Amino acid sequence: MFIRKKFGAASVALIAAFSLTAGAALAQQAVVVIEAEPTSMDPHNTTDSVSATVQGPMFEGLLRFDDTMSIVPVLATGYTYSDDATAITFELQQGVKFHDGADFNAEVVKMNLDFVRDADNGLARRSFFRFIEDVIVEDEFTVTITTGSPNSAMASYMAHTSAAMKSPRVIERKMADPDFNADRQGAVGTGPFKFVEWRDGVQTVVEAFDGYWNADNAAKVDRIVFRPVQEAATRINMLQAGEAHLVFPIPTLFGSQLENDSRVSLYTGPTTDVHYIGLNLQQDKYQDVRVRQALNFAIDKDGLIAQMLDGYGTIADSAIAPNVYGYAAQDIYEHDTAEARALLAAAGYADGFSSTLWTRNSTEFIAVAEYVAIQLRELGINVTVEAYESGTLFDMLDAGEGTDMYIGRWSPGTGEADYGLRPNFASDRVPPNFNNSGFYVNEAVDDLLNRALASSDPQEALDLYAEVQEIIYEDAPWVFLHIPESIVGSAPNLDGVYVLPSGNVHVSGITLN
Amino acid sequence: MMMHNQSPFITFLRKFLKQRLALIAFAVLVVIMGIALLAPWVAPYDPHRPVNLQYADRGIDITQLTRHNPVLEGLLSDGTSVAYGDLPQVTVRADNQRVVSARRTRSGLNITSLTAGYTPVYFTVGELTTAMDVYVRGEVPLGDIEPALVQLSIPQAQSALAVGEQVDLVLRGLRADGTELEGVHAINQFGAQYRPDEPLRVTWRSLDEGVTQVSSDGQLQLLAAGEGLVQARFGDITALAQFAVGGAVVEPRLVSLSLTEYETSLTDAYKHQRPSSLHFFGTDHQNRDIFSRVLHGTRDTLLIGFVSVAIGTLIGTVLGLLAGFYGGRIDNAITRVMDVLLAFPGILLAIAVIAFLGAGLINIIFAVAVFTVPVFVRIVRASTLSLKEMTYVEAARSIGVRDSVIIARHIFPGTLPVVLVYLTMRIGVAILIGAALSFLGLGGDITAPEWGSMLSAAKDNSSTVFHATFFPGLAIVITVLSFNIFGDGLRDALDPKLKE
Repeated sequence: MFIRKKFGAASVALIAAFSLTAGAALAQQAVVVIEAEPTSMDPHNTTDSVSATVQGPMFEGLLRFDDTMSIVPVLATGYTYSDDATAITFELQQGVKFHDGADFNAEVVKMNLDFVRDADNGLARRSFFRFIEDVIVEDEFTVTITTGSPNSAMASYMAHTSAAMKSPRVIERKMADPDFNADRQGAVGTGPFKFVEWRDGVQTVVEAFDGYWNADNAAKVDRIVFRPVQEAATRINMLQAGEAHLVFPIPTLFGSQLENDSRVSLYTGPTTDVHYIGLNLQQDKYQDVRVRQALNFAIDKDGLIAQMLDGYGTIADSAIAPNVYGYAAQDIYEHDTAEARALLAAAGYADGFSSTLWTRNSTEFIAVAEYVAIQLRELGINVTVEAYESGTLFDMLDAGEGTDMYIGRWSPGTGEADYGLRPNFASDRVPPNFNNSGFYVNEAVDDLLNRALASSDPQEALDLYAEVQEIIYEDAPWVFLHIPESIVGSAPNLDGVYVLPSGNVHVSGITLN
Repeated sequence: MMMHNQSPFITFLRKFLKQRLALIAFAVLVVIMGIALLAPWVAPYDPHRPVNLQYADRGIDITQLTRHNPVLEGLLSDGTSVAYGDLPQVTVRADNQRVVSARRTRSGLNITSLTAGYTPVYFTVGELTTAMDVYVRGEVPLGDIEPALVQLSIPQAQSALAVGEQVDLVLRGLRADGTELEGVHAINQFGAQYRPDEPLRVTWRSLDEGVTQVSSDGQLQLLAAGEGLVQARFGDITALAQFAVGGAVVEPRLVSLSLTEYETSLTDAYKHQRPSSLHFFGTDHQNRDIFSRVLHGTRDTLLIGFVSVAIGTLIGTVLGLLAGFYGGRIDNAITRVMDVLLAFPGILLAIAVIAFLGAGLINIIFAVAVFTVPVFVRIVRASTLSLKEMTYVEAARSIGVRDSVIIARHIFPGTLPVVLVYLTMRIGVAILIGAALSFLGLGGDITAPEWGSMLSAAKDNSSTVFHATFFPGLAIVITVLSFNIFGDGLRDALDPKLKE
């Protein structure tokens, strides 16, 4: 049987505007300005969206998400689930070559997946592929992935950017020589662009690959140059001055200005990032659900969106965003100080309490943390904001000691509910084993998540996910905040780029008119 | 003239009073110190809370400014009205969701302003839609906006209708400013002006199963007996009309929606309010009153300046006296350590100290003190070296006065003028370094109303408005400049070579 997942998602499709510049005489070079240095050229060792965006033109996976978050085939021509959703079989595209001349086939798929799953290789995406039990090569162009337990989200996992296929020669070289640095030199995929150079802090360059297998998706510019520029104002100036063709992310503060700027096309679209305040349920003060609900009632989310996001956002009305498959809207916690006070008093905290709020030290996070602290102080909850570098913060959360309140952001890269909920709310995902840093343990939630994942009937799975979200929203293990919109700026003559709700920008189809 | 009999203090005072600029600086400093002491009573607002939470105490109702609760009711075809609570599922949608957030809540309908702009908000029940115009006033002037068409109604047929008859349907439109448009032609004319590039027109359709048929200009044909139902649409706005054709008995239906108000004006008072009589320096990104924050910040800023320099001076003077008086190994040891400290640029040394101790106001004070010490050691040591050669010191020593007494009674007073001058000069520098450290986020509490951290927060969150950075910056400039000018004046007045 053949299950197609549908994603109800709006995304940012870039529509070409008529351009007066004649750039055809030059070799076409598109300049993309990104916010940070990529960390790796190895999709299996990448967890940040900047690196994923840079790798995008060079690598392909069996499937990918299109601009509406629907799954479309790339290196696979189609896929079939077994009836009990414990296996998925891919028919592979024939005649595909890697940039180094190696052939793509079922063996290569097995090699890639086995290599990333092997703990000895220490790749960052190992846990992402934990669902795989075995990879079976049926014939040269047919491969089956089996799982230990039924998993109806496998196709979504295989459409994720980290499920890209590396050249078998790169993997062989790494096996032969453990000192070989695949992060720096392993950028060999099957994509329309091939790797040229990566100079730290300066640029990463890819150029059109003439042996690309798919004429429909072939490169439309000669080169793409990715330049890291940390300062947002500088990125915007580069765009206005014509030094850059595509710039992201753009802070919301500049959105209103750029909306009226003729030199810039601005695209906004909802992301799948849910921003929240996590609460450590091991602390006495958060064990009463009324306290957690009071915190939800205490915060004016409209004010937060107006103030911190300049209107570019919506209130989180579930633990996952509307663009995630399986989303079900809940009645939001309206801002109601009286209700919050009453709930706190009923729970025995009429005079409030003290707490520490951990946040990442980036501007947006600090501003939101400040805002939350100010609002909670109105109820006598004395919040101290502590900002940490994100790596440090994650380590602290994983250690699970002394956690109180923390600001989090979660976006399921697979675009579906299981990866949106399980890492945050399943009882086996508490520290140090993933993202349930608030130690939320609820058997009903575990059971519903497992049943939904094992269900091969899409409607039944949707109903189960709706039920889970209702329980979680009511139970309020998080203070649900907002879902931001992503803002991307481009030159008016740019086309062919789309932004996924997951935050990755798909640039391989970049066109300059 | 009794010049030579004047006490040195009077001489100093006369010299000092001659320097107009230094006097002005001194007056400014007195005011600044007054503010530091009285800030909690002088500041109009609480510096830690957003002003919108404080308006209520001052008689300004903020919910009126940012929230509107529309009152929606429905009308049945038999003329009875239906209250909001009895309507079926109402959906609310703002056309531009950046301008307002519009939604249903348990208590009713709710429109909350977000950012400055204009947007229609649509209310839909089944096949019916009405709208209202919402203006949000803020930093951006809105310009001229044509009131939109917000409601349509089809007056009900009075007489009984027989099969085969033809009826000319009448349509009434209502614009947000209350202007009525009578008839399809008038509404279409408005549609052509309202959006010249793609004119809007009224469209009609039958929603029943073959009872009626309606032409594009509103001609209704009654084809069969039963319940007829016709919808008129203009853009997003719709109205219904129900007909009992051929004597059929019909259940009254909802045929139009109405609001008590079709336009409302809200404000974007969430952050970055401009300087005005309400907020002299405007408000910051958390909507806190910058004027109150600057006043409150004076205390922390002066505290950093005074305390750190006082500690530094104390330690530096003691070490300088010891080094200068005893010379030899002690001198060598102290001087070498101070040379090492002096080799670092001041700010770098302070950052190193903070890195070692952790962030916080106390540690900033300590860091600034550490980098103040070596300078004082040097100047005090130099004056001690010359003072201990003085005859009166030799005299004191020859009658067997203890070293400690000689240092305290005979040498230390001689170093005072230099120390005092340097002290005032260093306070300015200390304030600057302190502000720089908290600007870099080393002050611990990022939300504290401290000038440096205010600047830092404004750089990150308010780069599009001038007042958030300008006023804290100005406060730093005025304070540091006053200390420096005052110090210069002191130096000149204490200089014995300077003639009166």
